[in-house]
Amino acid sequence: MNLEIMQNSLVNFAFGGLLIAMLVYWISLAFPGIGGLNRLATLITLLVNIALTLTLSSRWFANGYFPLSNLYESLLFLAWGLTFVHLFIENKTKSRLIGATAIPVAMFVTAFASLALPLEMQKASPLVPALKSNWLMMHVSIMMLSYAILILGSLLSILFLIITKGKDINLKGSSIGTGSYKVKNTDAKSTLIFSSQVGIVQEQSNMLINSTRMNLLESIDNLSYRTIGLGFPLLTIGIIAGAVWANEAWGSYWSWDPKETWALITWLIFAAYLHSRITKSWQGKKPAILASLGFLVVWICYLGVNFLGKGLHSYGWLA
Amino acid sequence: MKRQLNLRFNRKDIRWYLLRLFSNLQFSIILLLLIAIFSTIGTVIEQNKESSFYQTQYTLSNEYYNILNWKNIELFGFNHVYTTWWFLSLLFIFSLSLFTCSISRQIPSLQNARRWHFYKNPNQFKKFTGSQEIKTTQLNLLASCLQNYNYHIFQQGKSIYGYKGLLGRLAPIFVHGSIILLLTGSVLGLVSGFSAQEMVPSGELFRLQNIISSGKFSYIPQEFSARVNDFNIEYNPNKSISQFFSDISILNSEGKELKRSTIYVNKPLEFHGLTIYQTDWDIIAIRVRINNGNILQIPLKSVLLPNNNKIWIGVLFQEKESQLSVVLSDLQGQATIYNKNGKNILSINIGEKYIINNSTITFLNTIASTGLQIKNDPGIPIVYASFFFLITSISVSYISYSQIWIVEKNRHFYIGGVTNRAQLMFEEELLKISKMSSSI
Repeated sequence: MNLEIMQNSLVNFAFGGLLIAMLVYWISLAFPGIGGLNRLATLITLLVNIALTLTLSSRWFANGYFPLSNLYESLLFLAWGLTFVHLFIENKTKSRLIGATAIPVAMFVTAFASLALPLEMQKASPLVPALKSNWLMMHVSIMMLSYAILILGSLLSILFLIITKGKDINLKGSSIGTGSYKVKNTDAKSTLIFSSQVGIVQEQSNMLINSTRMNLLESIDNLSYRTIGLGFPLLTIGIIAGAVWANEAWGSYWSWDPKETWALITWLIFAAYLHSRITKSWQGKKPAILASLGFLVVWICYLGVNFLGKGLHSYGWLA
Repeated sequence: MKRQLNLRFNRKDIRWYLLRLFSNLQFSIILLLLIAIFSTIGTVIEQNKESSFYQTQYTLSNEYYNILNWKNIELFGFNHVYTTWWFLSLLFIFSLSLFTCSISRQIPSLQNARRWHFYKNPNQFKKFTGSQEIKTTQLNLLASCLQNYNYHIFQQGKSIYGYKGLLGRLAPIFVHGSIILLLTGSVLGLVSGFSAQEMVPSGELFRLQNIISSGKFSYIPQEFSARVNDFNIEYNPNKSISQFFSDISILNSEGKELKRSTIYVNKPLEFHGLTIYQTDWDIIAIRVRINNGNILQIPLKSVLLPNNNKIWIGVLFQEKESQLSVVLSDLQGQATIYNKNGKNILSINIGEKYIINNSTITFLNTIASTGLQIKNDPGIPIVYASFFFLITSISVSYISYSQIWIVEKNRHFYIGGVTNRAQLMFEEELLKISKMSSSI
């Protein structure tokens, strides 16, 4: 009982924390002058991440199996993954934009888990026979982590599309590596607004002259590309882990179950995105449009398929 | 690198044209998206149902926009999308495209990557993003800085060339290779494997009889026989099912036991390339003794309730006036007796004696059958090997292949470079290298 109360208050804290962190990130974007806001938001996110870790690990401890057996737990794990990946990327790139885009999603996920789901679905129930395997931990956690990373990566592409709305853009930083594209229409206005937010050291040292750096748009684009590039191998590993598990539990490594099919569709969309990065005829906004489509597809794959209630993957949902 | 998708036949040789098309990157992107779009059909329309299902679910109507009716579904094979000729041809074209792309583009571009060259003229650096000019440094200082960042460096006079992450450039070829291997393995499994399903009552022998799928070159061992020694279900405290267990013995032609093992979901039995899975179960009969006389076996029929729960019903007394049925909902040793009006008159425990309709009835035991799937897939070793290669190569593909050039001219140092993926990180690295070399 006590454990349940603790878990509840931790999830409530996570929701409140994410709400505050989101507001702080947005304020810090709107008023770049106010110092320390970013660090405050990062700290809150870190606390939220710890709270979610505690919730999940206490459920793991109390129920004796990896806490990914129903929708509630998987939503909490997704929120954990989103905050974790967010903290990781923010630490790597020092960019505040990632927080302003990622935290709202994490907040909605947590809100959905704790407010919209009936209490009956929040309770842990015994694992069904098919889930009693060590592959549960391997397959589901990697899938969830890859969803979190792909969601963040495609969100950055959506952000890129919003900023470049109505403008013609030609980007540097294609993955062919020629790097010889010229910026057709330098985006003076948005660069002015956002340039201080890109955390990379912009100062020019005395010893260096004539440095041609990427602008903000290009860095968002590249960040999105790298994030999706990280999520894609994880998605592959997750699908393969699922295939190996399916071959042990269901007798076939691929059975065109709706969830499997949608995971494949997600994989194909992001494969198309990664390939669109290396062809000149797809330069500019087109890859970002594909990635934004990927955002939708990840959500269909994660939640939409289960709402249909068909197939072998309908665990942890109302019967 | 760019090849236009040219739809005119500007060459006479159609094979050459196809080769060009298949290795065209835009063509492959469109192919990927097409496979994705067609795959969604099978998740919206129920697959592999009987045709009466589609006739009731997707009725014909006069409305002209009613494209999704059962006639069209059967015409285009939307009731089995993933095995239609057009979907399989799409996959075939996809693998051809993968193959030609690897041969005609990836490998040649790799040979280009091996031919490294030096830049001599600072003007050539203008095309790089993030190129810099450094005033106060030494060439050998820059070289050692590059080495600090794990670059392999080559020097020629006043020019330096450095590269790192060549694996990231190599890996995509192996990604394509492993996908081809994966498809090959699955085709091998399709044509030479088989799958059978048997419902076996506990205590009985079974052979491979109910084959549900097999390929042209499948070999189904006729001499195979096995026995289900026991089947039982373990329940959770809340009465939900915890696990199904089937105790199975593989027998040789003389009936001698070759291997014995208890299988459950997630733990199949492996024997000489055959794998036996626990997939289903059923209750087929209940045994009763009436008035200490004969033992009767009452057959049970399963009924699916509207709430998706299954129950098993058998008739205990057939006489019109005193018709009684016995109803089971699981294998937990309980049953209920209903009269002809459907009224619950008695709950019983199996193994106990009751007086019903003036006769003593002992409910001895229930007989359950286990649903087994027996599968042979010769493609599995190839598929698993491709899984391994795919995981490795796709992870290595994350590495960004970076090249840096440095040239000295009139005591000025120019540094610039390209990378194929991590543009942002690379620029930071360039900046760090420049700073490091000029601050020493």
